Amino acid sequence: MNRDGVGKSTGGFYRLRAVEPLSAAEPTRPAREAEWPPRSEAPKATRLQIVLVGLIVFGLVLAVQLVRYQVVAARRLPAGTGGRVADAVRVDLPRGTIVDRRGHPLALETYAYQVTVSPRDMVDRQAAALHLAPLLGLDAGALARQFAAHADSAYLPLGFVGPAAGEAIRAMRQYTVTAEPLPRRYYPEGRLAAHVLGFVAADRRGYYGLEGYYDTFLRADTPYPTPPVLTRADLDAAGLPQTPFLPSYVQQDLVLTLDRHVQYRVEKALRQTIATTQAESGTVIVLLARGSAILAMASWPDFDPNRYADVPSPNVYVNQAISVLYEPGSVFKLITYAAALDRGLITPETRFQDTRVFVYGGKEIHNWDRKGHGTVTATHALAESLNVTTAQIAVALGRTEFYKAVQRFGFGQLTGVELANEVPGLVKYPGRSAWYPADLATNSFGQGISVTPLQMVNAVAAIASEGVLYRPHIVSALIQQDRITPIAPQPLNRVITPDTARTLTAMMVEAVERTPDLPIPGYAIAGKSGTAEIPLPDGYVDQYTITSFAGFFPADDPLFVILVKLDRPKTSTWAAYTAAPLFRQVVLDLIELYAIPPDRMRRQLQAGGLVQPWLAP
Amino acid sequence: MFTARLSPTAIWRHRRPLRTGVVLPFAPRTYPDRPHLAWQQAVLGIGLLILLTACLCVYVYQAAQLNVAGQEIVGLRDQYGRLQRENSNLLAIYAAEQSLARMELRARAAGFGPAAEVHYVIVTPTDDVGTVTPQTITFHAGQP
Repeated sequence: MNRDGVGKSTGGFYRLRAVEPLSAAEPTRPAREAEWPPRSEAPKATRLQIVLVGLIVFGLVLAVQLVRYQVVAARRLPAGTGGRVADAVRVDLPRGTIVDRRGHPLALETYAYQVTVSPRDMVDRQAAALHLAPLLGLDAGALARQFAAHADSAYLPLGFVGPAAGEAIRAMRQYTVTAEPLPRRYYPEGRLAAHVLGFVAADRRGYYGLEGYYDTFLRADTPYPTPPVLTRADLDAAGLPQTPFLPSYVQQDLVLTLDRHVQYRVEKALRQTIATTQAESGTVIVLLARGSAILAMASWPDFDPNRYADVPSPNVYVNQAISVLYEPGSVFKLITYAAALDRGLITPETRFQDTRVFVYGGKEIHNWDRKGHGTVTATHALAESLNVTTAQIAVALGRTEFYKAVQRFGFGQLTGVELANEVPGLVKYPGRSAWYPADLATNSFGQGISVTPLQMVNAVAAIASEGVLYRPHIVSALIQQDRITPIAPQPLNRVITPDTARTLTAMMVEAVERTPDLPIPGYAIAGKSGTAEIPLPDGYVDQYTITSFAGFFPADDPLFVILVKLDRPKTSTWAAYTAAPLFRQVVLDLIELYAIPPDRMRRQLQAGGLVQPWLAP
Repeated sequence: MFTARLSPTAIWRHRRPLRTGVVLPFAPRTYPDRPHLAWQQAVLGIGLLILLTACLCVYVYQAAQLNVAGQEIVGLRDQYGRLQRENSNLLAIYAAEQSLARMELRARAAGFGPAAEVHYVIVTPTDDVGTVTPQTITFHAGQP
């Protein structure tokens, strides 16, 4: 092909285009070869390279930062970031409602209005003060002076007001005055069941009790949830009480097994006994015999969760029923006798030679009265609470069987109750460095072993429920959005046979019959007292005791299991004179509240086919 | 062959452009003249303009509607929040009035007190005419 564009075909590879021939007059200008790609595109390539370099640099910076945070500073960052994330709790979100077994609210949400003003933006501060003073309950003159003192301020908080005043201020729609509604936890029963409920602090977090255990559940995650879709029929079908308090606005609610009437009477009886015996503290727990549902759980000293800061010490918040260990004393003999009866080692009529002292593992074991009782039956030994005989039984039983029974009854481990800060107790097992042979003898009557009151009462409940140990629980149902989750009684294991349970129950009835002023005419009550000396750094001191009484009734068809415990009573160091009267009072309250007829009458009613509601588990 | 003398890189560098006209790398570049707008194109342009205007109007109208609806939602939500707060406060008052401590105070003020004695009576029909044999058990409740 030539330069003037006239040429022959080159075989179809290129299609030639004819152009005008150059005239002779015009100077010949050599045609410049067309550049491909064109020169004008060269700068574009340069910009592309610049962008590319920029991206590479950016990527390198990201990679370096990734290595820095994931590798170099990995060890210290998780705690810091986690802490910050965990602290990010919105303070304006309401919480779910907690109701008792009858549907009465024990904790619910109300609103307080935080009033703030902007004196800087007020046109007439005097008029504003006159208008606001009655709503805030303040003197108009003082308020006007306060506005004048902060005339340059755009944010002046004036505290909290109630719903009526707050809504009235909001209705003004003035941007210089605001009333911000903030949810507040309210406990309408005041101190009632304070240790069970816990409290919600200013940071809107729940502490102790149910508020602590179910903190994330009760905290709503959206300020505008969908309207409740659960109906009364749904609640009824789930066996929940009909109440205007369920489901709540946030639809994340708890229904408890607690009965506020029983709780009220139990707390009242505990307060009176504390005042009478001058004990330092006390605890009462009432369980339903079948299923270990908690009907009441009271501790003293208590607090008002509405004013949780008004306590002399944070120790007051601690729920003694689950978080404080004590040596159960003679109540623990029930476990030793249960194990021995279950193994066929003893019967109620088995005779023992009760000497004044029994030496085992280099330790002398004495009875509470430091006397020998001669030949006694097992029933008599339990009723008289003889340490020597109990230690002899434990030694005959052997360490393996004894500690197996202790473990089966749930000691030394968490019960799993839905309350915050539960502790597992302290049991020394053979083979551990802290265990000595003498511990077998002392543990058999509740010395040198630490339990929580809930563990102890639940073990007694296992005897009442024909040998089946249940997980104690205080929540009967969870309501979450459109879902109701009932919590059924959860059997853990069989600790003794039904026959053993019935035999032991009869022995416990005998023990109650021998306790002065305890029996209630017409009602068979099974129980056992316990008086434990308090271990101090210098050893056991006999003037400081923990007295307790555990039992259940009616003995032939148990409904309620009760444990009472008093710390360091002053009027007497013996359970029979301090804890037993409180136990009796609680039994009387339950008889009255649940209208339980005397045994003979109840059996007649049952024989006639009349099943009362209280007989349902 | 002409192409046989070129390396693959050279062939790529001097590849055929994707337009008609320029045929060889060393041929002078020529560009076609810009064509005049035809009347059909003018009509199309005006139509497009009208369509865009219509779309804009619809968009503005819908945006306004959304804004109004959004305001209504905000108002309703505010009202819902106010009613919910009012309801919560009423429930709190209701619960407080039902509290056992308060009820006991009111009952005592009204002269009531716990029962000191409890009587249980079982009535058992013994014949067809309804003669009954009551059984009574009384015990002291003990609550002061």
